[in-house]
Amino acid sequence: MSEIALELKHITKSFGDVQVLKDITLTLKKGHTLGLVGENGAGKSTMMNVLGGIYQKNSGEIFLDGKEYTPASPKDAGASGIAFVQQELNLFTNLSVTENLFITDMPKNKLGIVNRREMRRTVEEKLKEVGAEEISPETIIASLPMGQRQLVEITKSIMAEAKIIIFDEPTTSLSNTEKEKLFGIINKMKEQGKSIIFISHILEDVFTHTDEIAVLRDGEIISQRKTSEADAATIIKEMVGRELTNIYPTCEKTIGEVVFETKDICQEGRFDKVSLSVREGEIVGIFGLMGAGRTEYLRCIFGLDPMSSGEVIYRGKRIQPVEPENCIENGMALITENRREEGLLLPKTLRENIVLSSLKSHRKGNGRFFMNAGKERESTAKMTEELRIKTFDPNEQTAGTLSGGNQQKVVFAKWVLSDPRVFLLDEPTKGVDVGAKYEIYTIIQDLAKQKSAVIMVSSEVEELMGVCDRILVMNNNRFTGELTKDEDYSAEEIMKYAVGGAV
Amino acid sequence: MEKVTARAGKAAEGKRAKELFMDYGIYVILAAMIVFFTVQKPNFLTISNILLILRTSSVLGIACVGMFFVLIVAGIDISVSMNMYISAVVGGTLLNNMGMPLIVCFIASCLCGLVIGAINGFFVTKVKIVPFIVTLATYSVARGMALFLTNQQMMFLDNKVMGLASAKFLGISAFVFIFLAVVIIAHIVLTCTQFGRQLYACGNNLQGANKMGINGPRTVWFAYMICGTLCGIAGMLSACNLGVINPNFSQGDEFVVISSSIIGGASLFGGKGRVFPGAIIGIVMVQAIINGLTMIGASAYVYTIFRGVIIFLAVMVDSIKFSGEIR
Repeated sequence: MSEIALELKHITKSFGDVQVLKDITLTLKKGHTLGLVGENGAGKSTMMNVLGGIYQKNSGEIFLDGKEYTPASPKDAGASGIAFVQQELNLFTNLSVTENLFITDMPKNKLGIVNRREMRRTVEEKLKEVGAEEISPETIIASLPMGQRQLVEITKSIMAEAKIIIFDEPTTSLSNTEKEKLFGIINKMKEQGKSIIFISHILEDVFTHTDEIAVLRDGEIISQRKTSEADAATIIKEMVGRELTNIYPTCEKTIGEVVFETKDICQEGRFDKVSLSVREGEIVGIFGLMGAGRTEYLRCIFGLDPMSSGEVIYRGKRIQPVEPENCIENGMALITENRREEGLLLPKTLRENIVLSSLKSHRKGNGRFFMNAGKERESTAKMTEELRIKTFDPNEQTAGTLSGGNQQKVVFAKWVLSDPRVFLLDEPTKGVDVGAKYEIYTIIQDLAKQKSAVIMVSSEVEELMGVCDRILVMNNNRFTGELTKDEDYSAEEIMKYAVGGAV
Repeated sequence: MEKVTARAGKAAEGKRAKELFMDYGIYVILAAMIVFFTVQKPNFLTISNILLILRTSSVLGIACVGMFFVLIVAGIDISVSMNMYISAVVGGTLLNNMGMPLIVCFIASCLCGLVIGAINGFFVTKVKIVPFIVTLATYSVARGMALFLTNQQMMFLDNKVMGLASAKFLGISAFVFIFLAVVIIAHIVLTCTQFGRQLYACGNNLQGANKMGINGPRTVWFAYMICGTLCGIAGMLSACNLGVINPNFSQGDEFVVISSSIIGGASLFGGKGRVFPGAIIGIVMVQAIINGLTMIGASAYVYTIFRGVIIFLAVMVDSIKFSGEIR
């Protein structure tokens, strides 16, 4: 059974100027499970989308069972026997299992009446095939727990005869028992001669359930070897082994006492007593791979998502209730990762954006109604200069016409103007070019210098090591490791915690 | 630990009570009103009055079935009432001025409704304007055209229609059977055909549906056309029932149709609802109360207020229920 099922040769793919896939060469043997690991943004999804016909490759060749394969659409991929089990489920929650599985090609008679008995029989068969016979074909999806929905999604992937099944982070929303079951199914599929690509952030799973492991980094396959010959340390090294290319600003600052604390934060189904504390002038980084719960933690302590119990404390004073309005009142600020949707009014001018969160202090005299345009202009000018926002006229230019880096600076300006003391930053440099990144790091350092407490979430290990005084690592909704600057910073160490500690 | 589970248990209980109220609360209120009318006016619960209620329900009930299709694909059609008006005027003109047989007039009304539904669907799916605005515009246009065609005069229909209006089978008005036939056909389409299931899929997750190879825009467009056609039938039936089309014809009925559909189990958020028995329960309940209000001699204004309150309650319950739903 060592025939080759799928072979990728020198695949490249760029979006505009950005080359996402540089040189992908990969082989998948028939009846084997190939684990694919890599950091966020290494190119895994792009690679899968090329295979699935969603994107077209720029160059290189793909061979399926020895024949050249160039999918033009997702439909092509399905017809060629490649099936996907996505991380986010594509099910209609208001329909039954059967209806979901047959939504586009129901067996029907001449009058167009659907043959329910036949559908039911096929579905029962297929569910049995994936070992999910406890799911009744008539159940409405909304009433199924996540694990079983995942099973339905898997069943959907084998409705057409699939030869290759690609699992993209299938375990993120599953409990341990559900996970075991999933691996049982994967093994069963393997025995039936299907080949599997298994993408996961959890190294432990990859090591126990695959035959081969391939490491993807910066759009290149760094290595592909038998699982039995691989060891965790080497794999982790290959995942992060990037040269330090950026330079980080440093500044003289004093770190004081603990000023901001979140104690025993619980959220149903996610966090169970997760705490952290930040000192005055300290920048704490939170690292974690996709789905580790970083963003969710920030949202939870800022009151955007429900918190079932726990305390948020600033300078000894408990912030209660934990709701965004109250958090802002108490000097907290959250800068979200999608600035275009949540952080900016794109068609409005920079001035309007910048004064947005401090309108109260820009009113005319003692009046209540009228805005003081002069004061607005003054503050805007001050901010654009302080944060070095590149604009021809902050009173005229709209936020939508700025570059990514400058947009992010406007978001910062907006918050800085309202003078918060605790900054929660979620991926502050996402989609920002290198030069602007440096300036944003400088802004963050300045905030800390002015005695703010900063919590910064990022997917880039290197960036956190360069900017933060302390790094907490998250995995599966809890902190699994803590590292302090100048003592034990090492990318490998961080990645080790991020993939679930000891392997 | 025990405390935690106890608290969780209590919370679950509270949640269940809330869910129960959300699911059945509105029926309890409506049933209580019916009991109230019966106590006030013993005539309310007589066979002849029930038959009357069923008969009046049938006309708007057909429009309700159409509204179900649109609501299932997460749309809304405000234009139903004026669609009924213009369709009735078109059918009535053919009947009065050209002496066409009744069946031809009905076909013309259907076509008129279909055209308005197709226009609604086109702007919603192809031009991607929000359904509320599109159908509000067609509402106004249709009404204006109907008023223009009738010269804002009452239009008395030819006596031929009396045959249909008074037709009975087993002592029950023919209207009721027409309504039932529409419900049964719609129910079969929605539950037993691929198209029907795709309507629900589009209402649940339109982008997902497109990704899965369903022609989402076309499916939604069809839903509006079906709604329009059924409104055409409803309009002509209503005209036959009254024997006259006056300038206030079916004004405000869009509220009755939308609220009845939501009471009957459809949702403004789409993807939900069963025509059988939902559409029947919804419209009969609302019509029973309108009938009851008339019987106890409530003023016309009370009826308007009631209409507002009922749609508010129905939509509120719908929204509260939705926020707890997993998508």
